[in-house]
Amino acid sequence: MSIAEEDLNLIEAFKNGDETSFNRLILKYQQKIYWLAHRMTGNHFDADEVVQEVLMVMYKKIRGFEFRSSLYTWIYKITLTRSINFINRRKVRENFSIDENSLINLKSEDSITDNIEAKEKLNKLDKVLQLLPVKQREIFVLRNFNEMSYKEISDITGKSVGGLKANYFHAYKRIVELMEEGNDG
Amino acid sequence: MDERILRYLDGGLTEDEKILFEKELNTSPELKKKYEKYTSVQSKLDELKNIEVDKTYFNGIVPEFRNRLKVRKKTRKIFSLSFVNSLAAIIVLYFILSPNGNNMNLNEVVKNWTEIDFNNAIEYVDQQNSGFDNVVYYSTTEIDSVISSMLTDELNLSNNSTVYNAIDYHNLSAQTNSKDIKDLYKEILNKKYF
Repeated sequence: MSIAEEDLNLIEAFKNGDETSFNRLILKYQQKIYWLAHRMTGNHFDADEVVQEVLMVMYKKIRGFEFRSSLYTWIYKITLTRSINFINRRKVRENFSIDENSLINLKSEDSITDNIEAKEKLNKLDKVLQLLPVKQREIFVLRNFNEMSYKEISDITGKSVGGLKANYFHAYKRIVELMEEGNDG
Repeated sequence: MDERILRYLDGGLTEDEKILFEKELNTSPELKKKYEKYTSVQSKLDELKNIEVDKTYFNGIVPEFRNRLKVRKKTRKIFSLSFVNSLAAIIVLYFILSPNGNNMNLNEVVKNWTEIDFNNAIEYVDQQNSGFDNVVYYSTTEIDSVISSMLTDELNLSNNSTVYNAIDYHNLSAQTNSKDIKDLYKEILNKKYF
């Protein structure tokens, strides 16, 4: 059975009242959702919040999903939208937050891994990605980490393939510069 | 030079271009050095695609979601009732306070009300209702969703148009202060019901 057929069966079962089918969809896509949210928001704490928001949106809207795109394209679109919205809300909160320092410390302590070496590498990457403009970060993550084709990314973001390539190269170049600076400093 | 390296790593060179590039890589130390800078970063990125993660986190996502769904369903009921109560409070107080009954404009009645006045009005009506003793905190998402659905009705917006527009109607509470939200809420109530 293809991925699309599997997804279709789960969605149909959910529409017919089988809540466990939705749980199975979550289990199938939760890691993809999480990692996209993590790389966009820059930390585990915020990624976790975005994951729950994405699942809530999926739960509300999946009955109307018509398979015009693949399910994972649809899920990625939702994840990116919620991540970007979250980032924008976070900027507003950080500007007005009274206890900003303790919030930042809490976020940097929380992690998806207990392995110290992996945690350090992940933190470093998170910091570097956060220095990219959001749109460059989006394309870099989808292309480099999710290994999506430019066509798939174009379907998700609505941007032209040429524009995406240019943005991807800018982002990549910047990441290399930043990671080099990190090694020197 | 950087662009050629990026296009090579990205699989964007033609076969002929690839052969030429690989030849040059063997003969140009400068190109090789730059290329190795990129491949070194790429291998660090590749390592991060397979890190050892805490499985208990992922095992907890579904239970956490189901828990939030339960709370959300309960919250919606409470919020809808609170909205109806607020409306009822305003209508009741309109008739109580208006010396000339229907001749007074509700705007005039409430325009100088403070937050305390509204809260007192709502409390008055709440006291008449014994069925809801539990106070539930409703999340920013819930407030956003009610305000945005009222706004989209008012402004005839489709849900899709909120995604990439300059104003994110689904997340108003993060972008406006609480005074503006109250003013907006009053304005919509007034337009919709009075």
